[in-house]
Amino acid sequence: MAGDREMRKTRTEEEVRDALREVLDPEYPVSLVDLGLIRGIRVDGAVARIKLTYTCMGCPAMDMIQDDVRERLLQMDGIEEVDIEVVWPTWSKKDITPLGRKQLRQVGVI
Amino acid sequence: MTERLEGNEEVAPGRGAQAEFLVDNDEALAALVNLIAVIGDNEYFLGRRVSEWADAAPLLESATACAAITQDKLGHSRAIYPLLEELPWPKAPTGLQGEVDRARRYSVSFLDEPFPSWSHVVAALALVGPAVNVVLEAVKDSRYEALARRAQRILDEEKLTSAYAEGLVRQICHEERGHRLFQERVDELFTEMLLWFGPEGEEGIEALREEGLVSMGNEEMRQRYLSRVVPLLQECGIEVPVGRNESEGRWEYGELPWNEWNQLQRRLKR
Repeated sequence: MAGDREMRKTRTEEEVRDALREVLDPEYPVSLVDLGLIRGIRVDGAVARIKLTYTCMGCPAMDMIQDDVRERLLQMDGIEEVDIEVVWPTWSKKDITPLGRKQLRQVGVI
Repeated sequence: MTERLEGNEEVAPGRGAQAEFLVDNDEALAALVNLIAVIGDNEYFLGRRVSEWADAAPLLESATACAAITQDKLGHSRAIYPLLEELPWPKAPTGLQGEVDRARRYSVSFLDEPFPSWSHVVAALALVGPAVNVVLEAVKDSRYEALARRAQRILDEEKLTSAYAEGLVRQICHEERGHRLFQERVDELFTEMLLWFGPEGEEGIEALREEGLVSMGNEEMRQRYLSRVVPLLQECGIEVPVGRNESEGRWEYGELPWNEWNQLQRRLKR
């Protein structure tokens, strides 16, 4: 008989990305994915490994964003641990997706 | 409610890459650790000193700018300091979360005390900021990728601050009193900033160059710095003890008082 762990579904990276589309930036109603802040997703069994950057290095909402990422991903069946690595590649407006730009335009940001 | 202190591990609990970076040359590794502490401390104290003017700057707009610059600078230091823990060097300096966390400071002495006047803020942004940026330019293609990526990202963010600082210099020099006070600050700070890049051919910097960890030597960095800051100062009628040798394409600055300078901490002995 298979145990609980074996019965549990293994999540794909695309499923994790879709879940992160529900995590909004604390300042703007745009997801972290559409702001271009998610720079890597890997799923190792029940561990979701996320590479995350910020719009600025002095972002005051760093811990809030990370808490939100953890909270959302831990709601997924099959994810038991979330490992976040903070990375510092270049980030600019060009990293915002077309959907993200549209949403920002709607709230008068760009 | 859990108390969250500025800059401790409770804030931003995400981790860095935690990848060990190996350098066989101990002299280069020691110089790299020192360089990171120097960048981190100057970013930290620049942010700290500017923050103290976020509710006291001459205009509402400049007070707001001080708050934004503080956010950037402290963020830069917070991104740089963890590298000290990743490098395999015993007893590396710790990152700062508060001013008195560590007795030994690796920042220029001009940043030691709260600024008593707005002219100090302008001088620090106009003369200390660009110096740190020159060093960041020297490591932005470093073989140590974790540092290179952070340096590039900081330089991206510094573009706005640099343009703003240039505007502040023009603004303060526009009135006679501001010009006089700013000249006094430049007189206090300029020599320390020339010393800050170190003596030509400094062993630690040369070891870093040989290892592909920095791309410029001491004098190349100093000359680049002077090319960046002196034209604006001269345009604003500020006198500086340097002259341009056009035939050799370099700035001349005479003998520097190396005996007054602490090489390890890269600051005037005070």
